[in-house]
Amino acid sequence: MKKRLVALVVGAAMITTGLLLGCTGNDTTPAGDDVVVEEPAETPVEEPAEEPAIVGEEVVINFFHMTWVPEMLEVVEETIAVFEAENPGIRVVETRVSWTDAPSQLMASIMGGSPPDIVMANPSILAQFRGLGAFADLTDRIDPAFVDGLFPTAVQIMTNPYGRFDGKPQEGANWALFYRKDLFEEAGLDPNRPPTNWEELVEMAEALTVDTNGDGVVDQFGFGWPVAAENATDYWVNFMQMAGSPITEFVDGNWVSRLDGPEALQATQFMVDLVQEYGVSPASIVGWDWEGVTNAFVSGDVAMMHNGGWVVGVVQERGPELEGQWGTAWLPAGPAGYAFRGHPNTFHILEASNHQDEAWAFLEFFYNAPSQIPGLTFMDAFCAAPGGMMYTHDFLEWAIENYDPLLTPFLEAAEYAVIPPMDPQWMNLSNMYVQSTVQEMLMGTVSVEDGLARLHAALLDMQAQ
Amino acid sequence: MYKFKSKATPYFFLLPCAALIFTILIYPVTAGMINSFYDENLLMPMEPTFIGISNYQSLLGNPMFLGALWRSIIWTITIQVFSLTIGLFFALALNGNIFWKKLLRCLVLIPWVIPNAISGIIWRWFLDGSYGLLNYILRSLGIIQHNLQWLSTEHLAASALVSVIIWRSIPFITITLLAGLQAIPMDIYEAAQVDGASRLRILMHMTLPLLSKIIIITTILTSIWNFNQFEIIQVITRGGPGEATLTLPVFIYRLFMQTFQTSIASSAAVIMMIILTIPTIVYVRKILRG
Repeated sequence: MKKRLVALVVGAAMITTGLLLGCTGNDTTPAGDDVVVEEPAETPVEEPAEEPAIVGEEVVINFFHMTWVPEMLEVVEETIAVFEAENPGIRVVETRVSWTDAPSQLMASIMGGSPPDIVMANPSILAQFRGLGAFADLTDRIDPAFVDGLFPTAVQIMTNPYGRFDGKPQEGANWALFYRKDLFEEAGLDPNRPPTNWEELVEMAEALTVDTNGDGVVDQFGFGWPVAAENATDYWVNFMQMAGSPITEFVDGNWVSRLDGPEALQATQFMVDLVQEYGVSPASIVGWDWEGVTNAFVSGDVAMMHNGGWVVGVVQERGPELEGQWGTAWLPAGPAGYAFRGHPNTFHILEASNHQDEAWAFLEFFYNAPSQIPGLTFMDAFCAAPGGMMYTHDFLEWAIENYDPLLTPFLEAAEYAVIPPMDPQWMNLSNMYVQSTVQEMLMGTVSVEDGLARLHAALLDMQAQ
Repeated sequence: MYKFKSKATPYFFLLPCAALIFTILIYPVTAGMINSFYDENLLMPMEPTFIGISNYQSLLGNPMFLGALWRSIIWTITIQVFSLTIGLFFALALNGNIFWKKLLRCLVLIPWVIPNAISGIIWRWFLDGSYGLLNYILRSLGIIQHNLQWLSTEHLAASALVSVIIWRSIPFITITLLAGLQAIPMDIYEAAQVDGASRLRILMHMTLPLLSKIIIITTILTSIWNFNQFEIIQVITRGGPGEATLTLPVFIYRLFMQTFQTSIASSAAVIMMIILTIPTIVYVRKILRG
């Protein structure tokens, strides 16, 4: 009997514990934060959105960003510390998230009624949330002199389809051409004159495509670029931009696919021909990410490659013996002229923010207050921390003086850099269909016409929805 | 009253566990099934609306989904046939009198104990077309003259991934069948040998029939796991090149995590769940029958 009684008591205790656990499961607050719930006044994150995030007289700004590079985080922390010291009534609270989780977390925070005030965005997040009208119009706040100092790509990315500014450009990177001077010499080409247009690219790449050991199989290819996963979309887009394709256009309030245009066909055909027709690029590029192409470049498997500015350091690290034997240059111009892949990421103030003035004050401070690096603002220092660039003419001058000379073409490319499609549906199309279709076209399992038709139809379908 | 308490006691004890299962299993699965009839998109700030079976109709008209589904089924069958055959062979070998039996029994478990993501990374480098160890070995042995692009050629990538998943499945099958073999009394083998039965005859008419229940249960379990295999494919090829290695779990991941179309992803997951329910029911029936 006693045993039963003890068992019943233990059972009841377990049930109670289980029920309590079940109850906490409905609470969005982690169990470990239960104590905090008792003191909501000191934890602004827990407060409902309708109530202003004010602690006493203090305004709290929630800064939602995806910065992960330690040197950049140091700049962010320093900026916040100095700003708060100069503005005692405003406190800036960081919410750090990964790029992968950012879109869903941002949407969840908006839908949950606790939106951040300032958000960082890359082009796909920007397109998605701009399409929803999530960003505050900053046109009247932004100084025209600031806009005048920007490169076109930065102005393009901060301008919505209606011509209004809804963000400010920040750190970004450009892409350019890497080429092996030693292999150019071996092929009888001028090592100081890389290709300047598509015709020359093909000619030189053909000269650089060689069966080095005479076994009948090509083991050195002329040109390579990353095609694995999301790279398939990004570089294909750039081919089309070089041919002058608008890809997708905003017409009368709606986005319309232009993948059926002659420019898209010409560019895609040229890209595929590099593998299928001219044979100057290996079919194996469909499995190469930026690192795979870099390895091939260092080992001499490809003599030229299209890659990002950060790869300069990687090539130097992996191929120290190649010092002086490789160079960088602008990418060849396409039929429509120069169009380099390159764009900044952006900062925005959310329309749903209750503290747009204070958020703007922080952004202004970030962009204008001098950092510890002579001649650079905090924003410039933030961009310089990973070796990236701020898309202002002033920063370009500073970077050309202070960065590795091999990076100069990447910096100068800012003049002709172009942004990716800002159609909110482009990301969905890219993730679901573009990557595999581009790879199939390059492998020759799908024709260019069929591949483009498939993607055009899919994009039109998404746009209609 | 006493009788009632006595009968109710076990249910009280089961309650916490039932509550936990409801919270982490039944509720999410039910929510997912309900969601599959709505048009929710995580990046659309609007109240989801009920759209009936539209998501299912859309999926069944989507060649990419159908391709992924077909690929998942064919891969699972292929993997099952090979891994069961090789696993049975290993189990028989490890059950016999061989040198370093204990060491070999430990070694055979290695693929099983390595986390899937780590296995994926190891195999990605092993299969790399330019710098991979596999090409180096094959070239050194004179089997190939030039590097094969294991992960950049459609049929090679598919074959390579199927092989990796077979490699991953073999240890569990081997160890399970080995346990089954060891449970078979030795005296019936001795009797068969006295009667002059050959090894093949013993295998076909005694060992395999006695192992049949374990083989069925192992097959069901590993089929479910292999159909669900995601990490290895995502790490090695992410479904490429083209759609050569795009299976249903990778397709659902793309829908859910890369386009945030949660309702359509839920519909695809429900279809996957229905498919997997069939072997699960068979498995549960086998278990209940002892």
